[in-house]
Amino acid sequence: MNEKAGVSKELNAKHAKILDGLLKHPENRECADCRSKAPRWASINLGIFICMQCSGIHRSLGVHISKVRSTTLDTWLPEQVAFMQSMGNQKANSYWEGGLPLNVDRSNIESFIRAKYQEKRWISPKATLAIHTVSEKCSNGNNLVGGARNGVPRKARKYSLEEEMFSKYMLQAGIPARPRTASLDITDTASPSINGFTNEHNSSVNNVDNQKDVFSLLYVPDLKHDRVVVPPSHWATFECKTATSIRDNAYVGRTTLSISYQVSHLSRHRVSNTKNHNRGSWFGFNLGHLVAVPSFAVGELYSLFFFTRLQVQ
Amino acid sequence: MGASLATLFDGLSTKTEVNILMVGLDCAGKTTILYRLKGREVVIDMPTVGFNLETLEYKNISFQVQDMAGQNMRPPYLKCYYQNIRGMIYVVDSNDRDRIFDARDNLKVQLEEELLRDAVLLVLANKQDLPNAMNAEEIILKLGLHSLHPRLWHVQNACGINGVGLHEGLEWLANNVSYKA
Repeated sequence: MNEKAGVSKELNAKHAKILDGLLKHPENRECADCRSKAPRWASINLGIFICMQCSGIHRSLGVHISKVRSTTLDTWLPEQVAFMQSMGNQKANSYWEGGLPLNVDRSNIESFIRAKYQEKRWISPKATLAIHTVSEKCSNGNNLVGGARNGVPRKARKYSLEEEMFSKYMLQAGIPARPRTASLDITDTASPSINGFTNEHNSSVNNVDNQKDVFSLLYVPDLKHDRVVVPPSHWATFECKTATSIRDNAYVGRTTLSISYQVSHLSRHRVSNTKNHNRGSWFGFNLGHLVAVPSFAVGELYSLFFFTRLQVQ
Repeated sequence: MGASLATLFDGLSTKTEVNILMVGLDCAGKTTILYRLKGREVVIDMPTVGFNLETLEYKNISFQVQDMAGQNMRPPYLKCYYQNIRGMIYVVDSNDRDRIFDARDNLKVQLEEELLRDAVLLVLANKQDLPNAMNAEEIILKLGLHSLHPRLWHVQNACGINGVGLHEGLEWLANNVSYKA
């Protein structure tokens, strides 16, 4: 019954990588509620990333409103990760803060969060994104149990909560959504951004024990070390190779994008570092000279003045 | 004078220390219960990292309560803390129907520990104030407590925020833990 027991170490590591990647998105770099930097916690039924302070308040709301998990310390299920990928702070806030007045007071963050999620004070009347059904269903019963545990797809399972919500979203967006059973069929139908999600979901659920998993191809464990050494031009070739070698282009396109984003971010970081360093030494050098000379001169003048006054007395 | 001497003597002689372990899934309300029993005002708790250790004085017993973190934030040398544990408080979020079976599995794992063989079990069915909360009977059924036959156990409805049921739970512990050295 315990679904977490079905999450192997490898799958857990993959989830950690995905969540780490999600946290690097600009929208998820700040807490969905208090806007503080670098959130490390998440609400798995609201699909938002929050900071530790806000996670405490979310916990006190009760699990019928918000279910808090740590992105770094908890074990995640594939469905939960897929849902986080499909939501994110921006999309969730466009619903929960749709009618938010400009000068809202966030100083008392607890009452703000309670008003936002418990009283649903600012949900936008237009956006009928199926979040509403999520929170209600979560309170009713066990809907988070997805069909594919241990990487074994069941023959005909019910939609998991996120899939249901996602398919509703696709219907609203006017994209032809095919009803999915658990069989693994990755075929491209519509726009790549939407497809990116379904493919990711499929591969994260079904390819658990597969050696040629897309995740294991792309998420190299020592990526961080490589990133520093390899210049960005090498990465460009890597991107092309993977993009052509794997047919699952929607997914690859998205991942390589995020990698190239990270690389560009890194290189920018490096450049700015060296700039700062140079500027610092240049400035220090000049400052030393500029200050040392006049202070010497002033000191001399002062001592001269002092001696002359002594002599006069 | 005599009465005060008697209470002093009483307090000195029969004060016994009992080690109690408090566990449960994350977000069940362990830290809130601990500090509610300690008499501090309930604050919004951030998730516990590691554990909290507090001494509760109840009648003539001083309970050393260890409140372990619910997430995977436990110290790796966890078993060092299981020495001489006489009672275990298992806190369940009664409102979390999705994870009650996770709680059952977790409880089972905890009770398999050899060092907890003689510990009595108090299950606190926490968050009874919330609308969709399961009652004690449902929790007994879903946690499969009847299968723990030789072990002494008790389920207590509780609410960590307003403190309902906590003292009844402690009362049961005080009456049922073994005081043998």
